[in-house]
Amino acid sequence: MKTFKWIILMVCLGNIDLAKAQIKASDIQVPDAPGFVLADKAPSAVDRPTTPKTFGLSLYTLQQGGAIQTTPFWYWQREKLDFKAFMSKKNPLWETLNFSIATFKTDTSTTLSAGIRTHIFRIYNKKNKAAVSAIESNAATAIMMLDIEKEAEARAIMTKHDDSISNILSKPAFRMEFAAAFLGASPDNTFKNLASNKAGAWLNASYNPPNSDFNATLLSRYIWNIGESSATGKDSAFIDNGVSIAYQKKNLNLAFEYVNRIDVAVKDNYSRLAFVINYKISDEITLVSSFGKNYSEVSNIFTVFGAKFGIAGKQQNLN
Amino acid sequence: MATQTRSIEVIHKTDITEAVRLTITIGNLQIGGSSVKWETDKEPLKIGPIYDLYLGPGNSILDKVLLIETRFFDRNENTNNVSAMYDFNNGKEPIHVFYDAVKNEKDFFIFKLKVTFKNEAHENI
Repeated sequence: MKTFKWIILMVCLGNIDLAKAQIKASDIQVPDAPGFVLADKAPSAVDRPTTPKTFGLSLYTLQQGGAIQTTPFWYWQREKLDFKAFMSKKNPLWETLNFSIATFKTDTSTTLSAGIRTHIFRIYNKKNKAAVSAIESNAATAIMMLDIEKEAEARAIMTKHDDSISNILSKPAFRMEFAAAFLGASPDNTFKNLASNKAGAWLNASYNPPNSDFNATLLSRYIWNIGESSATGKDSAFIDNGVSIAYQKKNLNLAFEYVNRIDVAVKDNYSRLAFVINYKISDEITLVSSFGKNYSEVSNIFTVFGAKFGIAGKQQNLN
Repeated sequence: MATQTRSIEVIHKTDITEAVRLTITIGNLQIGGSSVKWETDKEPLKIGPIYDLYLGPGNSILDKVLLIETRFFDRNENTNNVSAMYDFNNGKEPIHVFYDAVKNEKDFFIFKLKVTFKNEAHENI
């Protein structure tokens, strides 16, 4: 309740300006599907093929305009890969290599956006491993006790176990991720004349200390756009280096982010500073507030306050 | 009903000089559990995760039938594959591996195994 009062106070002091709601709390993270972020529009539906056969079918539909996201490692049976074996792998490059590809077609043009993402290095601590082992053991007993004829009920029970496991798997003690993507467009609607006009690469290291609600993330990012720097007439290119420190507790998420941007085209650099607060009032409503300083040199102080309304029942996550 | 069931009969070549223990590994990063019982018993030996479960000396379980039910929940969004390795830690080919796949995300799958223990030198092996 104390926290809630503090948020209200902050809102009263702040300049409420939803029009400037341009701050992304996840700006310091590697995008989940790098192949989709370079395009300015999101694909309406994403195919997730899980076998070589369904991947082939997805590629066919991709030609007509569509999107796929897939991790080929899992196309084949992995009978030795239980949770213990998976969490012991320190270089799961192949296990986590994920492709995201999207095509956007109009009557006159085609845009292809493609990306990869993988974990270069990661470590789970003993506490993580023990927690997953305990949940796995409970789930193994629970699944045998289920009345499997009551399918929806059984699925709900097992999904709870899965959520607990997935939550731990998503937060190794230390993880280094790499992602890259490019976007190409064809002016005459043929893949033959596809020319690259946007590219990006991300390198991210995150640390989740044991027995702590804090986590820290370092990010380096390179973004290149053909012909977008009007000041120099050159292609625009940015190198961002940033750090994020976040605190997560039940209904409250706090994040501090700092990003230093090097504008390669104009040989200048500037920075962005943001402090973001998410407070979950209920499963459906989350208050969001952020304030700080943006990249631009003038009018760069921002304060944003808003509310997120969801139907998924999941709190917005700052990480 | 989305749950698929597969019945499997196995003859395990048993080394009668060694004790028999069972470990079941659920692969593909899926959730799974098993119940293990002798065909002649009413109560299962174990329900849940099966690790190093003592079944008895090799010579005492010859011709006995072990019933194993393994249930899977497809929690891995990257694959619909399910698999289980049954390692009896005994005999020349101690590991029996079975593979299958659920039809839809978050479906259940059941393996029902009937394992008969035979002497390694059994002529039908």
